[in-house]
Amino acid sequence: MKKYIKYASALALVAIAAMSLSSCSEKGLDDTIFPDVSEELDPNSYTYKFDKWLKENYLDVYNLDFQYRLKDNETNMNYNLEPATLENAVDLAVLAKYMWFDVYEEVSGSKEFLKKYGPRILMLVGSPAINPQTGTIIVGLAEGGIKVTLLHVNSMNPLNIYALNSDYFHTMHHEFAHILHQTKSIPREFQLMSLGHFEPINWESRDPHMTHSLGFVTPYASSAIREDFAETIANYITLSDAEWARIWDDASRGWATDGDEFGDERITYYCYYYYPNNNPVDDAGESTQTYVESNKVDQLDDGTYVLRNQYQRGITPITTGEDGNRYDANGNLCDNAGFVLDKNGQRIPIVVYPVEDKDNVNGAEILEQKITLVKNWFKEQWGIELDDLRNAVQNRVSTFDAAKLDELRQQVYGQ
Amino acid sequence: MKKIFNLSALILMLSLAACAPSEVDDIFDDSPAVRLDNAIKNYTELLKSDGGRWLMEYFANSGEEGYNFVMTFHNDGSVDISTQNAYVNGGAFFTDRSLWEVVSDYGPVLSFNTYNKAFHVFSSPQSDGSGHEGDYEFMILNADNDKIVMRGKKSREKGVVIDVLLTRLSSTEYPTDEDYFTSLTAVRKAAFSDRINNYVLTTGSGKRYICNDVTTMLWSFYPEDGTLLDNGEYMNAIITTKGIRFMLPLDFLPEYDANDVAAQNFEFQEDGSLLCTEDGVTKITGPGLADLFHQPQMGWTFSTKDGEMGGDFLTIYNQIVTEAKTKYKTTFNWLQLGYDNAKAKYRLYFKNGKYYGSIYIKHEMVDANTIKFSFDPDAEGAFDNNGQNHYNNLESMRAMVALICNGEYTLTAEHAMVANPMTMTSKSNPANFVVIGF
Repeated sequence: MKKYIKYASALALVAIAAMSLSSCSEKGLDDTIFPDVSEELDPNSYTYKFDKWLKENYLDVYNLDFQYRLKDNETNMNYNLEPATLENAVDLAVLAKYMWFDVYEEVSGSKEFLKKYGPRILMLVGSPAINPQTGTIIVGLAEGGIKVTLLHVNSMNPLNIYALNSDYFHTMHHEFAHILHQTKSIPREFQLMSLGHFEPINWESRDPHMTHSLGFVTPYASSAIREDFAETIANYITLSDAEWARIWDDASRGWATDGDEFGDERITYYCYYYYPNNNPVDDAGESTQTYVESNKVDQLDDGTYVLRNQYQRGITPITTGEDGNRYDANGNLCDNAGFVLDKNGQRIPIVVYPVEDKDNVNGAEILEQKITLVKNWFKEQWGIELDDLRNAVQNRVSTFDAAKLDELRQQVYGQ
Repeated sequence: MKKIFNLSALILMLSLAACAPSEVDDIFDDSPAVRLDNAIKNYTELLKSDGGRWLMEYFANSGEEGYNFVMTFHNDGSVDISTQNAYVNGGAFFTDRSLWEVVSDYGPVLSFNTYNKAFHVFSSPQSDGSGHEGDYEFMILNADNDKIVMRGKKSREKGVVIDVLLTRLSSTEYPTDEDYFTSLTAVRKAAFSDRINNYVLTTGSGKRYICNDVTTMLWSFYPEDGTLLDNGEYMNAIITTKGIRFMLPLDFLPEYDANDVAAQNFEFQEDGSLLCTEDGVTKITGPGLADLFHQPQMGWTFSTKDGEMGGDFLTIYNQIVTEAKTKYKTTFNWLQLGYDNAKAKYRLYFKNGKYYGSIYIKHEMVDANTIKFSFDPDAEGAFDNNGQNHYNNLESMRAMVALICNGEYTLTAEHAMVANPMTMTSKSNPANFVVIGF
């Protein structure tokens, strides 16, 4: 099974280096760290409109170099990578502005917030970075908040705003959160919330449902406190209400697995189990407990959980009694198909049971507390209402359509 | 006047400049940065000049053939890349436009830095993370007005030397990019045949190597007096309309050690053979005609075209046609010499109407271009049923067998690489000949 990594950070050292660089520099906030390209833009260039738009909307405004031309030496040479298509680079440039930079401007009231704290380089790569040995796939990475690399750009569907939000803008919110907490530290209360439940090495093998129940928003959040903090912020902003509803539901349940927790493959966790034919033990007296996915479970009006379209079968042989009815070996009344009938003549469903929550963690409560803490931190430290940020993002997601994309593209092509 | 830029020299000069004490006069007029900047400008201008149309001979790795790309470098920084290979557009001709730039990296580097659907499939990690492992950035090693020698940058990082050539492509000879690939397809089809085994590379000293897997351009070699298992060498190559180029010099050839001659580039000659451009003597041809004639996979069909059958061959063949019509009420279709692989025996094979028949004659190779046949109708297994029937009933069929088995035949062919067709001529009576082909 391939393991997907949303992003990889090389935070501390590069951040220190970045701070060192800034402290060594005499340039102010309004100065760009990049060469002045204004005189280099050639009106006859094939990409003049795009380059001009990038200069006016990223470099001049945010001091950000939007690198859509791939340079090998800016990447990890151990990976085989392909450049981004020009068309997708244009789309991602206008969409990143619309879905990320403009949102912060809208909420903070100016461009200065991102100009001061935002990344300096945004680099695009057409393919994902796939480790041939492990199969691990990286679709985004950040280096100390200086450079954010967005990969897999050539597979991007610019009209699938949900996927874009998840694959790209989530990464940007995540990495930006790192930049912010390197400036103003993570609240101590947050740092203490999940101690003892982190998995720094094997977090990739963790099941998302199970990690939700431990109070983490994603498996990656369970890798370290700083990732938990960034993931909580990024997911709070980018996930929809429906996606959060599923997380809350997961977080409120118990989860269990019959797989090898220490094996190489990611194992599946379940929140329901049943006994085949409603028999808790088999003929040898062994438990028959079997886990089942929630999409195969129905809830009856009385609250009972049952297996969808599965019923208790009679024990063979099933014979016809003197009264003309069919009976199984235990004398239970059966229908002609061999299913046991209750006193009302109805087939008996296979009962399903919720897995007992044994992790001693109230996942939903922990998650709620973490969200409250990051909201307070944003408000107190940065003067930004996280809910405003989330609402702005969700509003843009819900109203996005092909016409909007065309309108955004016109900023470049229509110049 | 050709402009020569040499990266190695440039690096050496940069190193010298860096090591030189500041008070010592610089041996160059300009600083290293200025010289690199100038080199980038010069290469950029060179690529765009005279229409900017170049043929790229590209190797992605050492395990697959090389691929041709026609590239037109535009002044606006865009490049049109055309290709026709199995990995792009289902093998049909395809062109896409993207961006190019000569950048400062390990010296001047030509970078194709936005995705081009005709080109970057060879750099893509695919689903396994490796893909073809091809380069899209190339260090420019040297150049003149019509040729630029480059080296794959990422491959170099991995310790693999992959040189990529750009040569100017004539718009007179190939008005459109598709014309080039149409021509290349024709050249490739004519140059080699996957029906033929054992092509022969002959060095200047006369050492002969047997070459196989040539149509896939994944060549294998072994000395004529050796075996592939014990002495095999392998080298991938690219075919262009001019010839072939191996990814690396064939350093296993004895001349390489003796004379430091590195056979790598071979040009097509008029007779279809390939001549090494480095030493002017190493040659690649098809197998000897007699050897080719008896290779088990071959079946040589008698040509019935005007002028391609003469003397007794023509007379007797016409008699077979007439006699078959009279006795079997059928139209005689063809005669062929070749192996019956099911029975591992040589035969004269024919089709008459819906009937196929075999007459199992024997053959031997007299010398490289001479063969002879023999036949004993009383030997066990001399015929299959139809062969026996036709041999017994058609006097002309018996005459044809007798003619074929009458003495030695000389084999000749115009094409030195793909001897198809070749002519089989009686040594005792040159008027008796037949053109045969597969």
